[in-house]
Amino acid sequence: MMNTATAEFVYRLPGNTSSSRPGAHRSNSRGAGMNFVSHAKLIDQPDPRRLDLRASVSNIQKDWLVRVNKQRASITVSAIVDVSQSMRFGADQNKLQVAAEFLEALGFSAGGLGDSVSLVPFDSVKRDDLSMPARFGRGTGQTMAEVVLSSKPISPASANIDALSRCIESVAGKSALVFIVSDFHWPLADLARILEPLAGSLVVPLVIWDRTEIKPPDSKRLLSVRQMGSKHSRHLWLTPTVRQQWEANVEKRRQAIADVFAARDVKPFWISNGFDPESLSRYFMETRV
Amino acid sequence: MLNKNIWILLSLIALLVCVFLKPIVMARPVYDFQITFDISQSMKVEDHVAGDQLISRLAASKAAALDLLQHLPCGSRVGWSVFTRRRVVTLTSPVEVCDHYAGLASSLSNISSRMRWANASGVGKGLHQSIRAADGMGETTRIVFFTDGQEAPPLRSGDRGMPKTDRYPVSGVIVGVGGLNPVRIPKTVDENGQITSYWQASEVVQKPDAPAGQSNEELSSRQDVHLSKLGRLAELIYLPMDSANQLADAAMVSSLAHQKRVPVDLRWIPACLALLFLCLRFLPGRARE
Amino acid sequence: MSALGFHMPWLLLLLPLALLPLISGKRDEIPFPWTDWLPADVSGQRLHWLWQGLAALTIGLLVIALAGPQSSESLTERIGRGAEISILLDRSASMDGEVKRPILRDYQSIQVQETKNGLARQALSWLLSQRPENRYALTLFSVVPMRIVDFTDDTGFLQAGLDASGIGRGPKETNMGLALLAAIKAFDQRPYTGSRAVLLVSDGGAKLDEETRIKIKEGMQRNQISLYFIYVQSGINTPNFDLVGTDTSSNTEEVELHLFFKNLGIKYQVFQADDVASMGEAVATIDSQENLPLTYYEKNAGIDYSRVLFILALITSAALALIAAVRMETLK
Repeated sequence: MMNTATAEFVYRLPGNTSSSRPGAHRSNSRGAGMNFVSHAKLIDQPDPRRLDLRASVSNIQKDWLVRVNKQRASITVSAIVDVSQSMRFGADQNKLQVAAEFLEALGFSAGGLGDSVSLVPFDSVKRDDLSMPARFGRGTGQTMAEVVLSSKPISPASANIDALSRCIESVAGKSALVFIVSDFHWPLADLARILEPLAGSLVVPLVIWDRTEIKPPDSKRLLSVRQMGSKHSRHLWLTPTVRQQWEANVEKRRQAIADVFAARDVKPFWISNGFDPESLSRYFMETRV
Repeated sequence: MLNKNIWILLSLIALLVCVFLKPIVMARPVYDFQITFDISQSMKVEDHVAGDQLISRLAASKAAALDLLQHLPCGSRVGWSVFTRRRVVTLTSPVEVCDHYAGLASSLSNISSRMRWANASGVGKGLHQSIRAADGMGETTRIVFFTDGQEAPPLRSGDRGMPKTDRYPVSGVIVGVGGLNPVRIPKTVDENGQITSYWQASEVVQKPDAPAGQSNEELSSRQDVHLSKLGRLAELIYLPMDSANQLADAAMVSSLAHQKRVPVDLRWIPACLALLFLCLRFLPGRARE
Repeated sequence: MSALGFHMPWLLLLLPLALLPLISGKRDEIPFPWTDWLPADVSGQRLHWLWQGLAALTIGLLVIALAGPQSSESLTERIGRGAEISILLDRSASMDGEVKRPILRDYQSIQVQETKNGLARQALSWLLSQRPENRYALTLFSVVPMRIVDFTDDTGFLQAGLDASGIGRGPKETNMGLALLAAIKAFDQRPYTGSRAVLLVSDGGAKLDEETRIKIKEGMQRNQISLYFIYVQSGINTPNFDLVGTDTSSNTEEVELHLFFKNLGIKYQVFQADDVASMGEAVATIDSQENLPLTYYEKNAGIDYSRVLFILALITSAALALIAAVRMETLK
């Protein structure tokens, strides 16, 4: 998985970033970009290369006008990754492996665009020991993937929304693009509130679910399961009704997560069959025009 | 599908075998014993320590015989004889111990010194007779001979008091009962079993060739020297018995056993396997995560 | 009546193994990331309980079966025809003597030789084989009575007692009085369940003192015992009991004993037997006479329950296997 040609996806931000470091994203900084903003007097912007003759001629005050453009800037992308016990679940590939594939692709893509990427993992607490500050370079993703894959959960308990909140606070104001990579197997009640510090950033939830957790198995009938990290267990006799109920409950959950992000005008990106960079590119294309 | 439920399948197969397994005829060691009790008066001496009380030598012998009876494998045979004076009277010829256990046990409990038809004890002659009787009962019959070795009247020193037994290839065990300290011998007993008088020195025949005052035939103790000598002569094992369960260990030895084809119930083997398999299936191990 | 016992009770210490399926739940359930979206299912819960229960039951049944549960021998009351017969067999040395009956045949004197004891044993064995449902007690007597077998219907064991009486020689003297009292005593403290008889087999008479006579008479009457005296003739010079009674001048021990028995006020019959045929005849007569209803207890051998338990365990483990066939052990 790790040594195949690294996949790449394309992302872009909907608005302009305030970053001034040259890069690939539209920004509000003036400079050597292609996006025309306005004309300025040559006397104010003494750069004769940008003289706009046509504009100068038609200028009533007969001033020499130069074009003022916005430059393209680079941003910092943050990946907040759930590394709790439940992320280690999966039939063919566990969810953490899917997350690692995404990180690798993210690192590669961001490296190509000149963006820096930071990693902020959490489970029941914010995992400062696994965090990686923003850095540049195409190899960053691979390092982050390795860090995530070799991590051990601090406890068998499920991921904690307070820990997530702490992660969000640490990236707020620094990152223009924040990915929240998790299975969202924790109470959603406070999610909208804790996302508030990210008001200026684009938040993309990557909801990773394994196919075996969302689709009832069809080979056998009796299923005994236990909630990871707790003693709570469920025993199912998989009749068509129970299967339907199961799938309906999954759908309900999907809707609940989507609802939280709909308030921010964001759709979650659903992954349940391995990470596909192309569809993530399409996601950015379709939703962010 | 090879998962841990294979144990349940194995257990089921083992149980099927168990239920349909018929007893298998196998050659097993069994024992035929004609057991003779010395019921002469010296056997009434209560000097055998059993637990925290003293019981008579005859009672100790009977307890040991019962213990042996309980330990003998089915297919073994046991008969009872009693001996006093110079004669052995066979009470029952050997019968199979499992089928006739109740009869053998009740018959054993009836043996008492009240059966005594005379007041003397020629141990050697008694031994000789029981060997001869056992010889007539078939070549697999061994003897067990309970006695304290007290000869009354006493033998001349050097006299063994036993006719030659070379002609009879009978093996077995002489069991010496009684304590090693000389004790008075009860003479008369009232209806309640209380001893009312003891033999006095002047009432018994003393050793003919011992100096005056050196012979104390009115006192009795276990004659280990005499009995082991008789044992050597008759090629029998001599067992000085201190506790009732010694006999079963000493008598159930391969030299006294013979092979008999008896049906053996082997259901316990597949049953144990079935139990083992089930326990392996349900063994609580580390929780899977 | 039939208490439950175990062949190897210590194996029951393994019974806690049956708890294994109940406590292995943690290992036996698949860890799942988010059970909240699984519907609560009553039938699934019940099936899980059934699964655990069956497993525990199977283990429990196996442990109990291995411990070898068996009911102790139980007794069933039956009513048949027959009697309780206390056999009193003379084991004195004289019984080892041979019956000498010179028979003139083909002008040759042939000595038919057979010990009296042997005769008696053959006849009694025949009685045992004909009437196994009778209950017998066997007492040998010489100078002392020796109770060999208490009342039982284990004819195999009785036969062993009879066989044994032919081994070796018996003691010399006889004390019939003590023997009779012992035979009577066998009936004491026994519920009256059918006709009772003492079958005395001897080759001689006995002088009984007055005290013994009173005790015998009293005991015989109290226990309602009939008395059969099989007199094994020593030779041709023994008295003929059929003629006794009219001629009181006869004062041999045998005749005296016969007269004493006759005047006991109980059912009494004497047989003079001197060969197998006449002994057999005597026994046949007793058999036909002691044929009143008899309450007896049929001994049922201890029932071995392990087979039943094994079959039950087979059934439960088959059910367990059925559930196992549809039970998911992994989600992969």
